Amino acid sequence: MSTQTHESSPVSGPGTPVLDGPPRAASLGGAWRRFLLRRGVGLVINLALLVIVTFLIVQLIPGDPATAIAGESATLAQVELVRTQLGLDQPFFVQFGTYLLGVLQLDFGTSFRYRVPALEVVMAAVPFTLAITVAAVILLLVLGLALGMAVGVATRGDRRRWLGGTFNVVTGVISSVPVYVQATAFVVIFAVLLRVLPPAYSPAYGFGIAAILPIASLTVGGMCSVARIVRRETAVILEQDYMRTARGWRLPALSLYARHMLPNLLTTALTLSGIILTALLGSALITEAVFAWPGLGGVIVQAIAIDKDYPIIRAAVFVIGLISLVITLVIDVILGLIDPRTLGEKRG
Amino acid sequence: MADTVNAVRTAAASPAGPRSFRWNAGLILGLGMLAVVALVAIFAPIVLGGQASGLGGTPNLGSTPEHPLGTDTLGRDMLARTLVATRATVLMAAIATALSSITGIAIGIAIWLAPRRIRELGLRAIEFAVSYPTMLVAIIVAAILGQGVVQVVVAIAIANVAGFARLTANLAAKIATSEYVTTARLMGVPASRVAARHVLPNMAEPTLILIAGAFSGALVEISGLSFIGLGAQTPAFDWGTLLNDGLNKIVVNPIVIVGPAVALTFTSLAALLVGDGLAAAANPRSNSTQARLVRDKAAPTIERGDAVLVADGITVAHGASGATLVSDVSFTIGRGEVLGIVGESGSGKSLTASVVAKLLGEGLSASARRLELDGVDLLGPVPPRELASKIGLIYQDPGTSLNPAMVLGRQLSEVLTLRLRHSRRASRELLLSKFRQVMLSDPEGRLRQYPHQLSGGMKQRAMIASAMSTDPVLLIADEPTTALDVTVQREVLTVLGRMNEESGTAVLFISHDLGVVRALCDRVLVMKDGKIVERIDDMAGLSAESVSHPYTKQLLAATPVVTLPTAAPTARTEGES
Amino acid sequence: MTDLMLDVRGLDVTFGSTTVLHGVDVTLAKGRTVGVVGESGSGKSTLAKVLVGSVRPSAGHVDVDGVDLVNHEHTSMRRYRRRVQMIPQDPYSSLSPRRTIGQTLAEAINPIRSRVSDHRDLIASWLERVGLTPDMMHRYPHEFSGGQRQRIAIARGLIIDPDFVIADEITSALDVSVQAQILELLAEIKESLGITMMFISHNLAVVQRVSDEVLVLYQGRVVEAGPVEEIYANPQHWYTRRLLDADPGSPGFSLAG
Repeated sequence: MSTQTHESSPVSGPGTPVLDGPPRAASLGGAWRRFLLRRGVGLVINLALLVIVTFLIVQLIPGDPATAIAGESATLAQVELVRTQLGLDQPFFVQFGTYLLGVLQLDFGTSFRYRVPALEVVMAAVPFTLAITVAAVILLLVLGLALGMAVGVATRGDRRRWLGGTFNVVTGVISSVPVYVQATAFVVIFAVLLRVLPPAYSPAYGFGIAAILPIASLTVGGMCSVARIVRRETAVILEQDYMRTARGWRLPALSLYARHMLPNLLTTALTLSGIILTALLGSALITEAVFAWPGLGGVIVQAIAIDKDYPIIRAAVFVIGLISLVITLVIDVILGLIDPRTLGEKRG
Repeated sequence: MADTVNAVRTAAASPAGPRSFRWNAGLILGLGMLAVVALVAIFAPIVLGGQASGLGGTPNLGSTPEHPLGTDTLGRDMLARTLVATRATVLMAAIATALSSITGIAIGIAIWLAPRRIRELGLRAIEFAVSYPTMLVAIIVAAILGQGVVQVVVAIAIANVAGFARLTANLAAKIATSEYVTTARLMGVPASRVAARHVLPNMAEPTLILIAGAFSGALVEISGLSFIGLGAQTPAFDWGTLLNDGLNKIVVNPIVIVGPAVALTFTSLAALLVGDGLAAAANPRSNSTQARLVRDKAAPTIERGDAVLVADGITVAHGASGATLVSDVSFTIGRGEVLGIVGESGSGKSLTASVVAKLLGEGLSASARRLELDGVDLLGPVPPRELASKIGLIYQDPGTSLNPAMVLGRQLSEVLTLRLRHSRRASRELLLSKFRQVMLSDPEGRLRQYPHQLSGGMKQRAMIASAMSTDPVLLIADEPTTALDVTVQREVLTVLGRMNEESGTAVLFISHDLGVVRALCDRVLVMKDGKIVERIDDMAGLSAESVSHPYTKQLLAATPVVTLPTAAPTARTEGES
Repeated sequence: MTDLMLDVRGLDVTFGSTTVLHGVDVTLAKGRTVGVVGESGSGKSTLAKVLVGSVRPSAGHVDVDGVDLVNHEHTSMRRYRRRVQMIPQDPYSSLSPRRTIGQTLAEAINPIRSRVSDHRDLIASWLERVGLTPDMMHRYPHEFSGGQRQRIAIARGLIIDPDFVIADEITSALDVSVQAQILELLAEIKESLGITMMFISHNLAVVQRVSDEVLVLYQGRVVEAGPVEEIYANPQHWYTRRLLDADPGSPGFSLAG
């Protein structure tokens, strides 16, 4: 047998270069190695950028940062205190060096207000934010996928128009209600009118009970968005040639949808869920205000709007940025496991 | 936002063009709602300005005839305040969207026009910016610039720039690889003019959709920032601050949150409808119904005999328009016979095959007087297992007809395990033996590979192996070599021919190429406009004289055939044309 | 030297670590047509890109009508590009969907100003020449069939009276009968204008219809080159024979493995 290309050919000719043995099927190991190396380098660069951005938050304040931070009514001594606390009396690069050294030791400085390391204040809030965000993401992905797929399959080829129409209207309306409006509405309904759930966080209630409304308000809108996307994507995938091939094999419906459609759907759903998740992190910061939830949102708003507590702002921004980076990475790894083609894509 | 991203992607994926722009109900409704919002934004402050900020009313009223949405802690009418706040809120969102879209599109185009190094660096930077929550970017800006209306607008504008820049750069990169741009560049059109004439106009649709989404996002985000106290500061007010004020009184007077909540939802819904409507208009989906295959009442004109397949009077019509796509096509295929159907695109040859395979596309209805495969009446209900084992199918494009997310071993053996109830191990062995039969190299390794790791010819051989693994009585091959190189085509045809010889499987072979059909088939039907115009039984003696229909003659003359001068250099041989 | 349009010697093209073209030699006299045959991955499209100046050779000598493409000045390339035209493969993606046929052709005539009104007569005459009607200049590409679009693409390539035309797989996306019409049109134009052309295709029979000479590319190397009748009658290289035998209409074709 003569083999010059990947093709093994039944036609042989004089002068054909003959390779030793049949060509082997290529493996995926190399793709993963390259992917992890690329993402590792990307993570380091992103972390460096995050350090620079958080450093610049203070430097970029218009006018004299120390005066702006201390406030209009501050005395000269107070302004100078802020200046030395943030190291603003040092040359620019010395400031950055000191800041970088601090960050490497996980030290963002001491909170102006609480007089404890800023990172401690932030880390105390992180579990609260992550708890509702992660729960909401898992719920909205699972529910959104199930709903979108079910409706997508049920309305394929424009069947059951009433269902498609109703689905469009209902999910459209719900997903266009801002999360914090939804949260407010939930408070009115479940806490004020029905009085079945607490209106806001308080150590007096169980954590689980208090978390229901925040998680629900973060889930519902996102679930509708995901369901809309998944339904549209389902319609697209159902028209693909490989689905026709699968129908040609007369596979049972369960295998057709669960094994042939779902993996392709997950690629899209997960790609988008990265975007949804980072957006959700933002919504969570606002939604926390509705429930007086002791998460990052409250910490950061208080630090910006009231205390001008820049060590805390820097630490909080750094931590939120880090969470986004980790989420993106995790999602890309899962995507790679499901669909190895995505490994080659240059992202991040 | 994510919803928008997907809509934008879908719109971007469809070939852009001014085709017929289809207005749809959602788009009209959305634009109508936006018009209402705009009117309120213009006139409410003029008409209701005094009422909205005038003090002295009764504070904290519930819903009353004078104050349907109650009054706030200072006794101001919430309905008036909500309507007046429209201007500030919508203006902020609109300005932020305008700023971010203009800057983002400019950056995207600049990145695309930049030298390669800078472009890649720029794209990385955008990816970095996009992966951060909008709200975080807004918070960073607020931390630097402080609180206030201008700061919030700037913050949201900056936060959304990256999204526009990424879309523009991606679309531009995609349009830049299209042949009309490369051709224009080759003709010497300067890059800036290519951008203005070709790139920008062709990204209008996805960009508009993104703008609609970004406006809705900006509205929600700006109000959100005001809501948590980083936006509009007293005495200025927008929907976000009104909502925040309401939240403080929510337990005693919940009616006051209704105004700002409804206003926010209404406007955001309007933007969503416009975005969805634009996406639908850019990418219209045809209405279709479930495919139907029914028995024609007329008596069959063909007797069964010993043929494997009897197709008598196949007619296919478009469900909605009623247009006839295939009319009264009849043929039989004997055991071990290879029947070809030749015709151009639109001749109905593939539709005919899909009726035989019982895989008619959505929105079509078909009928036949008789349709029998190996004694099974295909016009009635047929158990899927029967169909799966009796019919093998091979399609035109091996690149798209295999599932990209599944390894070959699993997807190709599923029919054996699920439909023919073979054990997993037996299925694997059977598939491996078929892989060897189609001369696929390294068959064990192929089982673990994804389709994208194989060449086109290998994929098509794997498809043939799979189609033959059920030992079907009929193999339907729909343009199986059209996407392949000539030498690969010959190999695939060889494999098909051998399969037919060794297993005695009858083949229905569809092609537009008379040359290919001639090489493989025992008999050929020529189709044009849904009808059989000629039946060729003697393939060996096929020539311009042996056929009668002018279309067949034309097809025969058009088929490019290498003419080999028998002797060494003779006079020039330039085809007949 | 002056009667040679193409003088390519020892052309190498490498992308990163992969070599796409190895030591390719091509010579073509003015007024003649060379057909380039090869399968996907043979490097035939890369050869075209080198000749239009969008891919830089790694080594070798490339001379097109007296212009040295290896050591060229950047400024001279713009004028060069007007003299060499490429007709692209896909009639669906080669015309901008948002520009009328007239605008597309006007841009070919004057890339900077691109005004239809300045060149109305020329555009009309070329539309007629390729078998369309002058009033079609106001229409958009989606209103045309694949064959008609390819006619427009041919008009765009030839309207500026280039010295050398490269047709890259221009019939591979078309139905056989439409393909026959396009080949006929091309032969007719070639006859009347006496243009020099490189016709790239994977189909030997199609190449035979329009070419005087043929060049067989296999894995980036020229395995055989010469006058069409000689090569087709008496192929020396096994790959040329294999290609000829793979043509379903050729006497050597058989399905015996």
